Parts: sequence; structure tokens; C-alpha cells
Amino acid sequence: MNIPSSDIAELISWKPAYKNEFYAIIDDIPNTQFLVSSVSFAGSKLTLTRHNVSKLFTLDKFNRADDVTITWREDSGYSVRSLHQDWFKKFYNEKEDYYISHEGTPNVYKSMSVHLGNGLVLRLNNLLPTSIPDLQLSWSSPSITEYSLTYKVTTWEWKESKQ
Amino acid sequence: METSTVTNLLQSDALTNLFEVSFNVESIPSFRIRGFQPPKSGLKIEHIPYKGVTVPKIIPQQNLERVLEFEIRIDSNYSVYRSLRSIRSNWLSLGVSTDINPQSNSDLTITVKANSDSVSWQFFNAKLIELSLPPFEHENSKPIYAKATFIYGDYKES
Repeated sequence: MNIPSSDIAELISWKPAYKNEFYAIIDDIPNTQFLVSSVSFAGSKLTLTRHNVSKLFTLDKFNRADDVTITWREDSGYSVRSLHQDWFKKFYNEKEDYYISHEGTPNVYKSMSVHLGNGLVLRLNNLLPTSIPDLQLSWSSPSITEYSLTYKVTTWEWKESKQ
Repeated sequence: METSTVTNLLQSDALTNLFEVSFNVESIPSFRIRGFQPPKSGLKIEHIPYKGVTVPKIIPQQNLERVLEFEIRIDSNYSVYRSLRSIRSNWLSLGVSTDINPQSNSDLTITVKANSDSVSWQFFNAKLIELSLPPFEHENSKPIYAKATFIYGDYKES
């Protein structure tokens, strides 16, 4: 194996992406950079089948990138939980027992900017919640409260940071 | 030997015993602290392989444990010990029931000077998390050093 020394020089200056080099901000929620401790956003998917006769691939299905999973770290004011409770009230009226269509309802969506290294921002537009966090308290555990919640993403895009 | 030679010799080296520790609490008397270990901050690395070579690269993780451990000499009236106890009482009060308040803020700042103003370390938002005295005994007589462990938030070296 013969590696040119220029390759090693390139490798030294090459910048890898690190998993912990990010912070996420959700519009209109203060201090979300401390609250969102992990983001998992599955990519779009194609399902392809090889044709029996022509041996070429044909496209069967396209799966959109629909879901983002966020791990929330609760603060002492339980603002994450109260945020989701208020958010849910825009979809379902528990008192009167009826669903509210999110079409035309103001402020029903929330958008998230995931700031990555090198000034890149992954913008997830118009998130819709699918669950309220479970409240699990215990005298036998002094650990920090965290929730892992999944949201529907309407659209998403890459942007350059304005910082 | 000339006096100036001795003076030059004394000034030529940095010495370990010229450090000074102070707290930003007025009620606390001056502490006599046995030693001080400056924080060992460093960066972690990850080895990135490429074909047959492996190149170490810095990863975004700081290798700094924000903990200070002091051995503090106690005076005959135990006023130093009582002062330390009063610092701790902001988040821990020991009694019949134990009351813990981990979320209370701290404006305690610990300043350590290596030698006058040449090099100094400042530890902000410090909290005293552990305070202990050595076992008492009748067999011999030694000055008491209390062990005090602090955690801190912000840190500045100047």
C-alpha cells in the first residue's frame, strides 16, 4: 500500500463532523439550547426492486423524511411539559371532547433550527407533536428528567447560519 | 557570596510554596491551605484511520474535571471550620432532617495566585460539596486539616 504524503497532509486538515457539535433552537421557546440534548432525523428512503427480465431496478416507493425525534431535558419549572400540554390543546379539546383541525389554527406549528458546526443549519419547518411526555418521578432516582418525543416534520431545508 | 547573587538566585525559579488562596467571602478568615493542584485541562483525541495510517484529531470534548480539593488548617476556635460549614449550608443543612437544595446559585469565587500577580486561577460559582475532619485521637497531637471539596462552573486562568 502506497499512500502519498499529500494524502496524510489532507487528512490532518480534513474536518470531520462530530455528533456532539450542535445545538438546537425551537422558535419562541427560551433556552432551548439547554433543553434539547439530542436530535434524530431519519432521512428519506427509496424502495427499489430489480426487474426479473431486464435486471434493471424499478422504483417502488419513496418514503419522505417525516419524523424527527428530540430528547428533551426538563428544567426546574417543567417548561417542556407545560409547553407540550399547551401545544396539544390546539389539536384536541379535552374538556369538550372534540378534535380541532390544525388547518387554519394560528401558532399550531413550531419550527426548529439545528445549528451544526461550520455555520450550517438544518431547518425543520412546521413540526407537529405526536405525544405529551410521560411524567416519571421517583424518590430512588436523583437523575435529570429527560423525554424522547417524536414529531412530524412538514418540510426541511439546509441553510447557512447568520451568526 | 554577595547578597545580590542570593537575591538573583531566589528570583530565578518559580517556587511551589508561594501560592495564595482567597475566597470572596468577607466573614471568612484567611485560610491556610496545605496545597493546590492547578486544574489539568486538556483536549481528548480520536484516532482517524485512513488505509494504513492513523491520524490523531482533536474531538470536541474538554478533559477538565471541575473539582477542587483543599486541605485547610483549622484554628483553635474552629472558626475556619464554622466558616466552611456556613458556606455549605447554602445548599445542605444537616440536622434531624437533611435539607438539600442543589439548585441554589453560588457567587462564591475562589482565587488562587501562584506568586503575587504573575499567574492566577479564578473559579466562579463554586460550591462546597464535601467537608470532613480527620479522626480525633488521644495518642498524638497534630494540627487538624479539614478536607474541603469544591465544584465550580466558570474558570479563568490569567
